[in-house]
Amino acid sequence: MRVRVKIPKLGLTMTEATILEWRKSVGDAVTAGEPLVVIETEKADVEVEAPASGTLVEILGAVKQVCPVGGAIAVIELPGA
Amino acid sequence: MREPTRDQALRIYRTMHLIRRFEERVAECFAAAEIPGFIHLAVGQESVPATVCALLERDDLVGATHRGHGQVLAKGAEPRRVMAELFGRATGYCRGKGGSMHLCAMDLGVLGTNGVVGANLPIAVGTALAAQVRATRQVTVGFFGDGAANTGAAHEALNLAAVWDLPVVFVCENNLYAEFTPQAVHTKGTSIAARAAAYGMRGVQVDGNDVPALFDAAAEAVDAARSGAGPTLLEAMTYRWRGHHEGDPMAYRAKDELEAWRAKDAIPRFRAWLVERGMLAADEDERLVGAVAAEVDDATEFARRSPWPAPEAALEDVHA
Repeated sequence: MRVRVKIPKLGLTMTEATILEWRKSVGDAVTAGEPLVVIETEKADVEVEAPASGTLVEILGAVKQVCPVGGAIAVIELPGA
Repeated sequence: MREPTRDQALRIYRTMHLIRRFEERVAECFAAAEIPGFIHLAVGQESVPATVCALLERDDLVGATHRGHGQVLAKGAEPRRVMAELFGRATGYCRGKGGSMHLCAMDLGVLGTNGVVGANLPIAVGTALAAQVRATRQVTVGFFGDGAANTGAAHEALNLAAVWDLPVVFVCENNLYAEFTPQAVHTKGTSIAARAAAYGMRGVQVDGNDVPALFDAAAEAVDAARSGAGPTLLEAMTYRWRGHHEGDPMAYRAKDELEAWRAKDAIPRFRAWLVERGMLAADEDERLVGAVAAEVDDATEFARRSPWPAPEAALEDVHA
């Protein structure tokens, strides 16, 4: 099973965020709760944590790309899939 | 020392689980952009409203804070209608027009959460004065935080309540942070309850994550208010696990501080107390936790499929 990592809403008026830095690369093992990517919102730079444990199989949001709230930026494949 | 009855204890325990589950769900729904506005969650502080409100009658009153979903749920609000209100839907307690920070349920004595820090306390003093004048024996609880303790409104409210011996309990959920500022930076000294002496009322500081200790202190405060012996300033020491608002990256506090407080989580502590007294069997615990999870799932689905308020109803129930 695969889980999509989405841009979280982090503030009252936030509608989009810019990808600043990926802390993991495609193929890396990730653990739920560990920092996955840093995004820039209108208020602050925020670390987005991995929503599930598994393997990062796809990065959809490139650095400097502006992504909407709720937009998928990565895919994690859960173990046993 | 006053101990909760089995019924009270199980109600407190269930309410703590309900608030925890509800707040965690709200965090998910907010991140997924399903909930508008600003959201302040009380994960970690559940024991305070759960315990205090277990001592209240249905017609008693509660003035809640901007971090008040738990206070509203603890007073008996239906999770479905609270969640629908947060989603801005017509089935919410305020037909979707109140949201997280203006959430009233007058039939349950919930005077409202409040977007202005400290502003609910003068309102609590007002309903306490009304109860005194009408001799209804109703008690009002005014919740506030360590940040609100330093507002002018809090000072005015505490002074008036004391001088008129009003039936009110001021419950400070001291989570050690005023928004992003630690208590040591905004307040000299470590006790807000100590100020009670200057107001001429009883003041008690208690470990808010220790349910039996908090119950004992709150029972005395509620009884005093109801019997005409005036107000109490009850300070419950606790901790906020999440940010000031959802989306707050919490760069201002150390991770090990949070871990230290997670180790003092009131839920497993009170579970151990219940088990020790033979009030909670393992299978009952599992059933209770499962039922709470199902209730929050149901509330979320109810909110999602509820209609938005009709545009032509925009001016109904609104006062200016």
